[in-house]
Amino acid sequence: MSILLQAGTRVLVQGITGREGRFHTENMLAYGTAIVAGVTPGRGGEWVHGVPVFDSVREAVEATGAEAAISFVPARFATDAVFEAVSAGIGLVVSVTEGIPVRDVVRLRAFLRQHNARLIGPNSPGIISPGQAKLGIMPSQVHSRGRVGVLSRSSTLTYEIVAGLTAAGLGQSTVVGVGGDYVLGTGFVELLEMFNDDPDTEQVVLIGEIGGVEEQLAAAFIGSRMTKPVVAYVAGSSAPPRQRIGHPGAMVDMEGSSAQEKIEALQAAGVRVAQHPAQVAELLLGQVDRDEHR
Amino acid sequence: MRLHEYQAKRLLQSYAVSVPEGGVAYTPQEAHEVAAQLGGRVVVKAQVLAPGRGRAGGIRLVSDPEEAELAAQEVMGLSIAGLPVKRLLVERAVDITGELYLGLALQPTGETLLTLAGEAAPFTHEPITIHIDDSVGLLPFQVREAAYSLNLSRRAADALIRMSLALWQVMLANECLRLEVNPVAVLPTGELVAVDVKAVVDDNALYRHPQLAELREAEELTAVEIEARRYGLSYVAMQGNIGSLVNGAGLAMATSDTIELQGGQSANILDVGGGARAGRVAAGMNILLRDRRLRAILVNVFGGITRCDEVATGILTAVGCNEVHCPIFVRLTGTNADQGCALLQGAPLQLVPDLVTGARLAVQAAAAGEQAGAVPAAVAQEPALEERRPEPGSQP
Repeated sequence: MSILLQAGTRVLVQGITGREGRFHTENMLAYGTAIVAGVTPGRGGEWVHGVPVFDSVREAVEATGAEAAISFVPARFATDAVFEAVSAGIGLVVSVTEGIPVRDVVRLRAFLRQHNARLIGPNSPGIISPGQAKLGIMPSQVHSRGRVGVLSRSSTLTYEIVAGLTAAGLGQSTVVGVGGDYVLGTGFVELLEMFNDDPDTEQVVLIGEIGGVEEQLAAAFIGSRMTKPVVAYVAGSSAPPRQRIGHPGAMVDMEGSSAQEKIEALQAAGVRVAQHPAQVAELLLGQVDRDEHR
Repeated sequence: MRLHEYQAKRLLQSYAVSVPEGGVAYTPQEAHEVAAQLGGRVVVKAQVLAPGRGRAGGIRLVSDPEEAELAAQEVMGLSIAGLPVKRLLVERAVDITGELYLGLALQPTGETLLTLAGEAAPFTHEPITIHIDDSVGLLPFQVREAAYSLNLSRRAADALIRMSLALWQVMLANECLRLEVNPVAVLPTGELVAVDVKAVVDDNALYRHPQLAELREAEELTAVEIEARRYGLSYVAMQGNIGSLVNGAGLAMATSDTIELQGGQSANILDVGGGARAGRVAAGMNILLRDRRLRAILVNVFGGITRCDEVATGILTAVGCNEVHCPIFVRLTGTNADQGCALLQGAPLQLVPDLVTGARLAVQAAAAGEQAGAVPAAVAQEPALEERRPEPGSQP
């Protein structure tokens, strides 16, 4: 297994005819992802890398049975694209788009709850279940199949840490980037719950950063319900307060939002926290006999 | 984007929230004019986007226009948290019998909270938090309950309900992330006045609020921040002497953290973003190479959608048109790393295999640079990373 995404999950690409959409569709197909449809209004009937393009998500779902979507739609139209996908019955939407207004995400969250659908992102690099499928923009080659679940608020930092895991012989079950925005569709706790229940995941790596309360919520869950070992890294110990660092969500501006507070909360929940990215693999290897990993 | 006090007050006024009568002044003479129009005692307030204006002497209570002009002159000579004072708000002084705090904040969980507190006698009270259900909005009874527990008069309670509902409307209409009135002055009549206002609006939503986007011009940015924004870079200045250039915010923070873990001090966090082309990288390197505080530069790029050959080309462009006044360490990995490293052969910089090595070398170079340079060494030596690893023997 793995979480959220498996080999054969039928995927639809929103904004498939754009530069980003085309480029990543090709990469996802090359990774073996079952991309069954693309959507760009007004471009129905075209083909992109052998994938049929439709004018609307509803039409695409009816024709192809798509069940998950990834959206490259520009920020001004991205919220509507998520509403459209969920309304057409898509159960999982990954939003790669950067710059979606926060209030839109608040509205989306309420709508997603009503429709029992899930949004990963916005501003997310996506999801990869190594060796099975990729619903995202991450470089495929740093990943390898295995039993470590990874969840993260950033993108390149995740590639860095995952590359370290792969080099150390620690493959991954699923890697999920929840996104760098202030309000997110899916938080750490829901993903921890899934990893906890996933028989193919043995340990979990949590990659956090300054800002918000995701790490504190995760720590509370880990302390009370998580049965699998968790190793974490939290970026931003050196970041100055009250300054936004790149991600809209990355700012020390409220109680609990500093790296130090997050690290302490995680440690108090029994999580081993790495001091720098390369140490994550070392901590994992210290916990589990390497022979258990393929 | 943070709004200036005078800008936030205009937003509130348009929703019928009382604010002190006043006007904006850009010179001491204008401050005199505004004070003369108002008559009586006035407050001269520096308009800078920095905390601690009062402590820094940026807020003055004066009794006539002459004093206002004098105070304006002094305040405009101040630099508050490094920002020069370019504009003032001159307001009629308010006769206060009590002060309240009223704040709305959108939480990372998507929920909006209203916080209400009595900050001075006779309303001293623990802060009260009201959870706003987005589907129905802020409800009058929620504020009424809180107001009566603060022992407000009937009249003040009604005014507080009106002000809270108005703030919620301002928050929604302008897509604010935070809106704070501190203090809310309670007048002897029981009326309420918003004496100071802080507002943060969502940058991502500015495109659909042109009237707010216009306010952006009044934002105070340093020359470097303006340049960074022009090229789509995210640049945050810090106090140290080691510069870094990284793709991605998380990795940029991790790079700065690793520099500090190695005993160095970061001079900045510079994120060139995803998929940066050579031009954007060169713009970032230009900023670093012109920063004379720097004693070392560390470039750390993990190529995904960013191609390392583009990064290398950008570095070469910047190195070619600037004096290289400190050692540069470059770590390139991921997409097209081999081509990138090949391009950098012979350039005045050192390639490093990984982040920890790069950080260690940069910290050593910066320490050596400080010793050699005229500036006294400010870099504290900490134990090397290897000595701090937990549980020896935990590695296979």
